[in-house]
Amino acid sequence: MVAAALSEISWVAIDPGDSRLSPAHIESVIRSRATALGITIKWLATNPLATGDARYGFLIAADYDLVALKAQVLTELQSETSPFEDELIAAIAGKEQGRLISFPSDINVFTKHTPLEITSRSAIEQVVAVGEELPADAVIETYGYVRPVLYEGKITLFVERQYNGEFAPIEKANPHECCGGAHAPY
Amino acid sequence: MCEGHSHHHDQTQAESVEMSPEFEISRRGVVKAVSALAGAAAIAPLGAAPAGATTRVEVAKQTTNKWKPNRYLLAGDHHIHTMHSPDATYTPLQQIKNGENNGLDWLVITDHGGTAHQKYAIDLISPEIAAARKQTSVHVFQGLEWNVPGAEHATVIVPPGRNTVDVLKKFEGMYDGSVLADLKKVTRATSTDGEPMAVEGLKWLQTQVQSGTIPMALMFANHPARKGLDSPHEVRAWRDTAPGIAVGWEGAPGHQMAAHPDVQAALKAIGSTTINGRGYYDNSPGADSFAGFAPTASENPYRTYGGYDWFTARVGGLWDSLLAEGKPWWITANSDSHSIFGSSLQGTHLVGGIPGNQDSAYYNTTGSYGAPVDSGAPINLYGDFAPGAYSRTIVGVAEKSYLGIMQSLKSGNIITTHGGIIDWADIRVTTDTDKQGVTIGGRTVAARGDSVTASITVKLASVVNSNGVIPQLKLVQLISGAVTGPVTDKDTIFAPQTTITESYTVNQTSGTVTFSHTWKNVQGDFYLRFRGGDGNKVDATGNPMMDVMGNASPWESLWFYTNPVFVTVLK
Repeated sequence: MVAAALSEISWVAIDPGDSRLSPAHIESVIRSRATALGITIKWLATNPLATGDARYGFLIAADYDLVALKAQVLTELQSETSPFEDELIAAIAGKEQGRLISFPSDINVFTKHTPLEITSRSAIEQVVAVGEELPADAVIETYGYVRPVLYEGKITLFVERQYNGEFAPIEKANPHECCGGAHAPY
Repeated sequence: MCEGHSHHHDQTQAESVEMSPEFEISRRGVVKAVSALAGAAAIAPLGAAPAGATTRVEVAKQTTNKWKPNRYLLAGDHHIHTMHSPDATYTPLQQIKNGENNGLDWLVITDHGGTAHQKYAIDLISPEIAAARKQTSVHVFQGLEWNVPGAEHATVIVPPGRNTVDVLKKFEGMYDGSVLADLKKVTRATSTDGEPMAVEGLKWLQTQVQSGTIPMALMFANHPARKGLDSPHEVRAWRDTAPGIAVGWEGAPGHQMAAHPDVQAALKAIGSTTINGRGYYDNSPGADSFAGFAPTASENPYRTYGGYDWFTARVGGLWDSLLAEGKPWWITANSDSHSIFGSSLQGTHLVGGIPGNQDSAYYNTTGSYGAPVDSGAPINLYGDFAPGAYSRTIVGVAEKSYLGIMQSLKSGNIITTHGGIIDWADIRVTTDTDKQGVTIGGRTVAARGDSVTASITVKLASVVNSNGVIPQLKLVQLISGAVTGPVTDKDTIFAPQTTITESYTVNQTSGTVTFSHTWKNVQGDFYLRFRGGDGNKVDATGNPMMDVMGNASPWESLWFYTNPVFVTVLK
């Protein structure tokens, strides 16, 4: 797949304002509002906001006019236009920092893939194994959950070796939560 | 102890050390013993040595943890949960007996802080612990696993006493991140807006000590790198705010069984796709994580390395960065025991019938799950060890007492072991100026140009561990680095000058081994520490490899780590 020109994409930034909102909740609000408006989200990203009140900002891109979507999401989140929006967009467009939730891809995330399959069939530009060279014939199991990040200017899927000799992304869908997660929403 | 001896000459005489170093040392020992007894600050500030002639008093003031041939070595664990946590299984007495049966001399009960814990659980557990003390020879501390506002968890230890429960309860009510989040005083337990509350909490504890309400309090950060929450500036703020209280972190987290293949098989058997990391280190950066800990192509701070937390396992990493400031920061190793691998006991309020998956809604209205019941079969979903079964924090103490144990934890006379890889280790660092030398956690002094010799004596394992074998130590490493002084950037993560200075191969299989290293003509302050292991899963540079998700048997990479010794070169 052609390498993503993140700078040429028209991004819309959403600052959830209230940092008590979990990223999963914000994502579901964005998705349900988009569905109601008939919008198919092409790109969806998060970025931590480096302000005192730590939270994720969200970035949306699609081949639609997103003004109405943004307005509805902000209303539902009880948030408003934020001075951090430009900063969020600059970070992702400049490929400096960010984490992708949705991106162009036709890989089946419920089957196993080689690194080449992943980079040739999705916007992911490189697959990097932490601490070792990733063999070209490495088997990567994604467990239906793929969250690449911007690393050294590229959309990067970090993977690690797991129990069966195969590789898996380092970000897990359900990491261990102490106290059943009771002490922190995320 | 020689506290009865006269030592008044040391207060007034100002002779050069070089004139009679041996005499110097014997006198200094006296001074140190007395000042420790009086509860005086044990650690001299960095760079305190004035220019010009060195007096014996100055030397004495700067020397801590004087090496002595005889001391008690007491194994303990400062991180243990009971049914009074929202996610743990056993009664306090069961956990205490588990520790006793595994040879522990001291332990700390640290149930999770939180609104229900503060409101109900403390009052339930306090009499249970008091009663349990009468049924055991183990020193049982009542502590707390504090949700440090804006950060990870931490053990808080207060010695038993009239005001212990009151202080713990007030502290938790005012400064626990989870309590504060419920009160909407902070955004989340871990959100950065809570950071000042952590510092306030430590100051409050300090006030309790200074006012004599409690004689001591200690704080150790738990599983510090697990979620990237303990940023370098937070750790430095804790240490610098309350240097006698915030004294260290878990060099190795608990839950060491979590990534064992048998646990992985048990997960698969119930249809789970979860793959555990060793220590349940399976996270990735979140909104409250420190950006500097983002994974790279070469390392992932969110994983363990040889069972140790990345902050500690990485040579020249965050631990070394703290030590390179010349300030104390100690490591420990604990079980974090919630639910023990292979135990047949399970709670009576399970969600979905899955052992270990407790219904916190019930806990939140009671502060207790009540005693567990026997399921009739070993439960392999559990990822923890019993206290003392795998992880040990071994302290060298002068006095077998609650305060004696806490004084040693505070002084850094601590080594950590996994899987019984060694029985014990002793370090002695001597200089031409300080011929008696100091031991683990200590600070010795040298004149410029002195030779400094560090020796480690290791008693090789003589005891069958809980995996049924006597493990074999294969390698010992000396790690050292320059003390470069306080950092200007409080978020400094690395100390590039700290390296593995020398590696030793262990060829014998029993008895004791001693390794020594001498630095000649020393010119500047430095520190040193040791670690060693079974030689498994070590990379080409001598470092432990990252533990593999779902396939990291804790028995296949065993390490011990010592705490450091500082060498101050008199200017």
